[in-house]
Amino acid sequence: MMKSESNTGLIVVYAFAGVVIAVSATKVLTGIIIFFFSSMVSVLYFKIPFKNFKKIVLMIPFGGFIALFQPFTKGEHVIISLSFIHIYAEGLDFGLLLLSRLVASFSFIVLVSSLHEHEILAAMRWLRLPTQFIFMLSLTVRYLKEFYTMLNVLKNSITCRGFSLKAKMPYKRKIRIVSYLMGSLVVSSIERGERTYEAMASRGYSVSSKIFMREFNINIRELSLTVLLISCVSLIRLLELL
Amino acid sequence: MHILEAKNIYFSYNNGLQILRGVNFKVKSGKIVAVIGPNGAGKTTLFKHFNGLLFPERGSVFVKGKKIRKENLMEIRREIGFLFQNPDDQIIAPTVFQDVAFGPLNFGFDENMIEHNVREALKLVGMEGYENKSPHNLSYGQKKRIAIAGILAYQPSIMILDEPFAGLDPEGVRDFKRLLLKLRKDLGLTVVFSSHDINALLGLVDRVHVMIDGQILLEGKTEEVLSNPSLEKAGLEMPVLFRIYHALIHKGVEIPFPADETEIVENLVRILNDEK
Repeated sequence: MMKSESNTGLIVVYAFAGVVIAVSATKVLTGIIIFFFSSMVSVLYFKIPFKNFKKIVLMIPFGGFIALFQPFTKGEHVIISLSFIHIYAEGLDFGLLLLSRLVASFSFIVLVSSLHEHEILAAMRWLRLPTQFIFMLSLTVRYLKEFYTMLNVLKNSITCRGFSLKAKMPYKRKIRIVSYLMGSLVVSSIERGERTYEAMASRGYSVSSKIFMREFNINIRELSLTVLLISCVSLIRLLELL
Repeated sequence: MHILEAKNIYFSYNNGLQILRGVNFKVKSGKIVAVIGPNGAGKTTLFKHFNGLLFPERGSVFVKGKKIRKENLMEIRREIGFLFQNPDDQIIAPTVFQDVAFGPLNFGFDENMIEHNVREALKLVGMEGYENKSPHNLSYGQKKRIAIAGILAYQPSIMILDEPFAGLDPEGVRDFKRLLLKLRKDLGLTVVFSSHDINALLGLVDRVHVMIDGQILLEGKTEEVLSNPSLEKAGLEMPVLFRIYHALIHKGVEIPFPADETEIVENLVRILNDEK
């Protein structure tokens, strides 16, 4: 049986992505309150590691400062005026919207990266994502690390022969050497791809092939979380329409 | 009847270079057979004909008496397990379990059977307990074992191994030899492999084929082929044991043909004691 954290995590991730789509500038404050309420419920009741949310908070300044300037930049209705500095209602709404989308996007990245790759794939299968998509993603997960290893091998080979980006040599030459490295990486990847396809074909690969994943059942906790989050996203959208 | 047979096969790649030039190759069921030869002799190309990764321009390949055709590829691949030289080319899934289960799933095994076969295969190669590990974190030798388990899990009759000893340390080679002998003994597998490690063939293989320039130059029982002086003409070297034997014969020492190191040492000790 799969660990339930992966399902929960993925549901939360989907819900956050839903929030990004659902929230718009008009009822942004209500949307954000609902979003943070549902996030807190997820954290406290479903025991999603709090460190994940700490990471999100740490990421907010990268882009958050853009949102911070929005209330001062545009709009017609001034809500606060401090001599020559005006805070506009429309700018405030837009800034909050931007911030909520940033938080939702960062949450997506942090929550996905905190899950094990195979758990994400298994949860995707449970969520009935297309088999081909999951298969392709599992190959990517497997070979991304190999690609990185290959890159390091090539990088070491040129470092051993005296190349460094900090070395004193014409800029053009540096660019040429880095492009050779990238070219070799592409060629090696293509060759590996061919060998991997042959190996897969030898083990009976066909269009309908998939990666083996054990079946698992959704539990009451996960079901209630799903219902809660979907309700929150729907509520945000409903408020938009009212 | 031969379980695997290639009849007069010819093959060229798209660049026009002819790699196989009339190869005839036969293997009996339950035998361990080695194909040796220098780089570029055509060993891997020949092996790729055994499971339909390549088709000959002329000639035919038969598995259990059935000619390999595009129409029966899945049936043929179910019978032939192919181990590639680099296990990283072969291990495609994010976890060991998922990778070993890839073959059985493709060949239509049911879920219970898959679970059972994967566990048995991992046990056979000594990798039980690694089911949820990422292949990326394993050593080269462990990856080779996982790649073998990925084949054993769908229970083929024949295993084709391309340079299985490449990249392994001496202990790894010894372990791998033991594993191949175990597979033959426990599962009755027929094994065909290529190798550059001539010394590793002793005590393991029943027959040896020597390949050069896309043709089979020599073929026969291990001792006969590996002690044949024409082996060196093909750019290969006799095993150390046989080189010592030939050197002793050349020096006029009457000594029976040795099966292993112990036998040649015992015979030399006996001769020395007799002379005393």
